[in-house]
Amino acid sequence: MRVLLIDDSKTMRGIQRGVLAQLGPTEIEEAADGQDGLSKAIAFQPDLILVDSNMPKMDGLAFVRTFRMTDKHTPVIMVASESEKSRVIEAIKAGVSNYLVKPFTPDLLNQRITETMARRAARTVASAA
Amino acid sequence: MSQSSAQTVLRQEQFDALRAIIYAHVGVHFPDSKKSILEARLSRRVSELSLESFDQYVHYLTIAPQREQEVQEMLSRVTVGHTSFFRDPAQLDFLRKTALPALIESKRHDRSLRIWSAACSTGEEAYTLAVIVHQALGERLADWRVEILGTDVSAKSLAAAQEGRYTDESVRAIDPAVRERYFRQDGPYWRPDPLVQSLVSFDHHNLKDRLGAKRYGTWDAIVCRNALIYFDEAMKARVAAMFADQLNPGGWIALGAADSLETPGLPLAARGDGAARLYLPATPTPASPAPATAAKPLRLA
Repeated sequence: MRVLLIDDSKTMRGIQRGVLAQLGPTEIEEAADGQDGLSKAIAFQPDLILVDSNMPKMDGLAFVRTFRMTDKHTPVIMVASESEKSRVIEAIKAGVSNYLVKPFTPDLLNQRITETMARRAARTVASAA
Repeated sequence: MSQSSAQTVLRQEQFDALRAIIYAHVGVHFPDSKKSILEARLSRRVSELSLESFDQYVHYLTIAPQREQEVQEMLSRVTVGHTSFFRDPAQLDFLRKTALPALIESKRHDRSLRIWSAACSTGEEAYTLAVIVHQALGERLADWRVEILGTDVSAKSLAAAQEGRYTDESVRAIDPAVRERYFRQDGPYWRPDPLVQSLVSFDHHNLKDRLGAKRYGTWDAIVCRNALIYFDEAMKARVAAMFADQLNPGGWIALGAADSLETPGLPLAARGDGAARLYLPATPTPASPAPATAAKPLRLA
């Protein structure tokens, strides 16, 4: 699986990389902000994107809105410090596939990825039927 | 964005997703004929959350950190039914004059009476039961240990039940003499008398949770009105099994007029008709599940 990690914190990208490595062979690309993430998404063609909500240049919400203009299907999990209802709703309206609040355990990240990819697979099967 | 000027449109696949979430949480099955009801009741919620479609609402119910609270909010909007004090006077008359005195007689040695008001909504039924228990026991109440527990899946309904404050409309069916004796006016509201309140407690319970019901122990009577009508056969079988588990020997179950637990094979069997209908544990025969006629006879005073 190809995963794009977009986060301005190198430490957080490292944590996510570590969790993903435990789940199996994964090709990982990293970006430090939304703008960089958009470029990498086009070049890397990931199966899954994890994007931080707060970043310089282009934040997570702006990234998702822009990304969804051209890609409606690639799952995007927003990794956020905020769990307020209004922030979650804005993220849903922007087009996120799932929402994970920091701090999180490796198990919870694993769970979010599993459920996100399961929904993606179910939609693919349904649209092919 | 799929919105009409009046309300957000609910497409079939969105309806399917919502009813799957509802069924998974409380076992309530919404048939296709109820699609417009769900659409009307949840359309406002979609707007309140500033969401643009039922797709987004389903997604919110699925991924939001607040999804458990939102499921509760949704359930309170789609499952809370109309309830009032002393609903179905004929059945209450039968309980007060026949079924409760028989139960009291059978329990005269341990002088303990436990009644579960399952799916009690905002508490009117539980308080009504407290009143008729008081009427049936009279002065003996002081020597008896009476527990009436109201449970519901809706946190909002339970909060109202615990608050115990009711409008004129809620108490309109109460006989004025009974209202005078068992209720107190509190500004524009009515409250059950402290004597009535002292007999009743409330707690959260999902009728899907057969194991959770065990923490309350067993009951001499279980009253569950107008909840089973929302359940499919699988859920009714689950509830019947739970009620059978939690019923004391000699106890009975009273349902609403529109409710039924008479599918062959269920561990309960009906006795009596109309307002006098009660359900008792069925007595299975070795060859086949018990039909309704195989129930133990109800010994009434």
